[in-house]
Amino acid sequence: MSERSYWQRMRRRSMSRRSLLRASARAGVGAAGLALVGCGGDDDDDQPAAAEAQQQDQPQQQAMQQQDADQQAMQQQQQEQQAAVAQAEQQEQQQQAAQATGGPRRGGTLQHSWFEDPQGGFDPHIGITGGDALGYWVHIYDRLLGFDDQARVIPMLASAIEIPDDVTYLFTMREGAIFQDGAPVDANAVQLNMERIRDVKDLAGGTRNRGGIQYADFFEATDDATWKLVNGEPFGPTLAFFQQFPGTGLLISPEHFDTAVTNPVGAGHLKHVVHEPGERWVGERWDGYWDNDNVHLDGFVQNIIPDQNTAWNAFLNGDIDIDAPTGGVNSDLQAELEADGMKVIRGTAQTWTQTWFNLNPNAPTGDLPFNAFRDPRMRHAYNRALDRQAINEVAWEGLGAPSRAPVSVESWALAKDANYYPGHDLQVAHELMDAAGYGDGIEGIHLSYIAEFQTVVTEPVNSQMRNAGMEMEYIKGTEAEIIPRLLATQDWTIGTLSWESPFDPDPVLRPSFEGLQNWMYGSPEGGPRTGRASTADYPNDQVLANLNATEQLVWDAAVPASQDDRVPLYEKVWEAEEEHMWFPYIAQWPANWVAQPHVENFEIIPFFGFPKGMSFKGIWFNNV
Amino acid sequence: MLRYITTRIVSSLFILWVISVLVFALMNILPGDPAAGILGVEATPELIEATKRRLGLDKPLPERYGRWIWNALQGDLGTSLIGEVSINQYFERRVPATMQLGILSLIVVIAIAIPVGVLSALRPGSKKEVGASTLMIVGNSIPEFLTGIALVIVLGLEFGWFPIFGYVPFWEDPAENMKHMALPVIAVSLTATTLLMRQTRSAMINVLTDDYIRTARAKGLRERIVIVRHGLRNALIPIVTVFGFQAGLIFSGAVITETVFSIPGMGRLFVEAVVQERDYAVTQNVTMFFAVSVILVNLLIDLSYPFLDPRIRMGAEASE
Repeated sequence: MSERSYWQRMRRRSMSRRSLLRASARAGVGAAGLALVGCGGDDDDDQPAAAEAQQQDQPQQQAMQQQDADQQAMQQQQQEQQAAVAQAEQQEQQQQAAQATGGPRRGGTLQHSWFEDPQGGFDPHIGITGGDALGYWVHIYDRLLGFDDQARVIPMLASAIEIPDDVTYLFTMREGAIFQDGAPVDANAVQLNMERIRDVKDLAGGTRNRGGIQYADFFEATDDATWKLVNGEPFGPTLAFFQQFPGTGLLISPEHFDTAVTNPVGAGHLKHVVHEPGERWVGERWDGYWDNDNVHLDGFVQNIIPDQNTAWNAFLNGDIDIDAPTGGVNSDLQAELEADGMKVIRGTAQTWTQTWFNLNPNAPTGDLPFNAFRDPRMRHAYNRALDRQAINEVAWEGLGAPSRAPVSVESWALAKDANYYPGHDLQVAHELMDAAGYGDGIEGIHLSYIAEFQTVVTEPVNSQMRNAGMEMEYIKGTEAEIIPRLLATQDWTIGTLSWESPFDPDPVLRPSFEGLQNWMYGSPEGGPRTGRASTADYPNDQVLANLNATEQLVWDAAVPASQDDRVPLYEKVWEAEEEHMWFPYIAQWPANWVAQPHVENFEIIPFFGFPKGMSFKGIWFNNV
Repeated sequence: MLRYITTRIVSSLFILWVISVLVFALMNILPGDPAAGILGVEATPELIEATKRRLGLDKPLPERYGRWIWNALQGDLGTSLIGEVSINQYFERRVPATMQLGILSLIVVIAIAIPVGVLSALRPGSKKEVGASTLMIVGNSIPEFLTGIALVIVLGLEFGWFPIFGYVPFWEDPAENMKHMALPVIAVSLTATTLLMRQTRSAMINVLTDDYIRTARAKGLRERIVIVRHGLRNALIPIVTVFGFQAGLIFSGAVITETVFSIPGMGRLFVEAVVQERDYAVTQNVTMFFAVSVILVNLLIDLSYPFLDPRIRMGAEASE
């Protein structure tokens, strides 16, 4: 802890302390409001006039799309250059620091904090939350593939991956890799793990765990060293599922399948030592790890601290080595911390804000204002009207990022131009609205949100939309508050501000969306329902089918690069979603991490937003 | 006397039974399917039904209630719905933390509130009395979690006198245990002391105006004996009553303190079961724990009355 007293640091950053407390309050509200208001909406049937107008203006659309693509490519190039420069600077600083401190040293136990125990235990095949993966599984289990700081595929337990055609994946297993009980990590072990993932009865993780094999026609161990996966149809994100957390392919030693919940045995860099529920989890370095040269710490303690203020105070007190302060690190706080020798890194999180519109054709009929967005030109206009960089500046001092497609093109086997980023251009927005017949603007659109901290984005978005002639009103409230109001006014909510990637089946969004669907379409007995509907008594099979079909269309849009009809991701998605949902991304949230002065090699993976993917592998202490 | 005790015990058991029925009923009529909640939105109806059968959730409610109560009376609290961990394991680790926090807090409350209340009653309106009352009121006005955070910042971070989070069981390291419990106990007792202090003061003021106090002084008894043996003893009934009320609040209000200080107690277990995991089995057992704690404290308070006040004992014996 610094020699300067805590009070002195607090006095100097009184503004940032207020913002910290405010952010803590937001986090408390946000944590309690994790169940989002679903969005929904109803829609008329297809409007022939709009479709006809759309056909007539196709050449104009194509020209504008080409213009957009050119501009997007230029912007992307600039951003990539900036990212490369920043990365090079960071690497140079780290090298200098390493040289100054004599390079990595082995020893020390990293103290970290997490807000909860593993809810589903330590078995990654049946666990249900991302929190379990990030807080616990990532240390115990390795997976077949990983990702680098550009989210590109890198080998882990699979030393190589070969994709001979659109549907076949050949994983070459790393020679000599073993589980923590000494069993070999070979193709047979992978096969047993995948069969378990496919067959386990209490698979609460759903698609998140099965994602990589959900379209598998078959998979097999062709020999000890090669595991083969053959999909029934091309599925672009296959490799992404094997890379991500929790993803598919966190490998458990087959001998310990039955006891993995409480006594996990994986092939990760830390062995499970003890779990004291409500208090801590302890892991220790395992010397049989395949990448042991890159593991410098002796152990790891995950202190379970549910209150984020307490965790932050524990960091300031020196009890915790690395923390991510609630509300982020603004420039004042960064200056304070760095003056005390703390290390601060700022990056972007794996959290995006998006607007989510339901354009479901099976919705109740009515001439409703948001029907305008069924016209792609209006959707383009919305994107053009958004100044995402300005929102990033207003909301997070520019610490976030204007949102592009929230995926890595390499991981998802997308074309380079899939990362479509429409730039802000109000004039183009007006031209598009004129062309679509909405030159006078639209009004009466309601978007809902439930958490106070979302106002950092809702307010600038609302302001920008008003400038563009799209009068939108953001309604804050819980699902139970908003839905009756919307039912009464016949003004169905059409969207919500969310913060997850739609490409990752989100158990938080889905229940809310389903709940809202039930409100909209009524219960089997007729009339709106009260409370949140469960999947078991979902009343409208067609809506559920549409929802599932929409997700299918979204997946289908991410086609492998080998296909000929390669178009920007958002365009593809828009075409597919014309009948269903549309979710323009607004911004990517910042991720700020701080570390004690003795922590070295402290860096985050930009795409993922966590230090070293939260495994903390590679980190070392300069005071051992 | 025996009848008095028996009546109190039987009524307490009846209240407990009513609470158990209410808790069980509430847990099971809440909207939402626990099996679907465990499995997530990806679950198929078949999987949900299979899970319900495996967890016994498909049985009739009276049968499930009966099994729960019968097993609980034999010391088996069942298994959690999430992770299927024995609930006894949760309790074994968490109950001592909560009990220690509660008991230590009550000791501090008694140690401060009663002497200060008595002294306040002896010198009403004096500077010391006004000052003490003001401090107590300020302490009571500040919410517990704010007090906790302030203690963490000042005594933990600034001066470094105490650790700011975590818990060490007493049997593992008594000294560390006490250091970890210091700040939470202060936070809890600061809020609870005021009410008991003011009740003590009020009761003592009433008693000190009675004739027998004047008689005791007239007999030449020392002032300390007059105050303690004659005054305080007769004022104890309302003091003990309020104390019982405070004790119930302290035990059931452990949630906030345990969260702020990251103590793995029953309060945190309740929050985790309800908010994070929606584990109904754990929730209803933890709720019953709090109910038993409050009822037990109040039963002890009721049973203490005859010993504190001979008039109550004689009245009870006379009715038998």
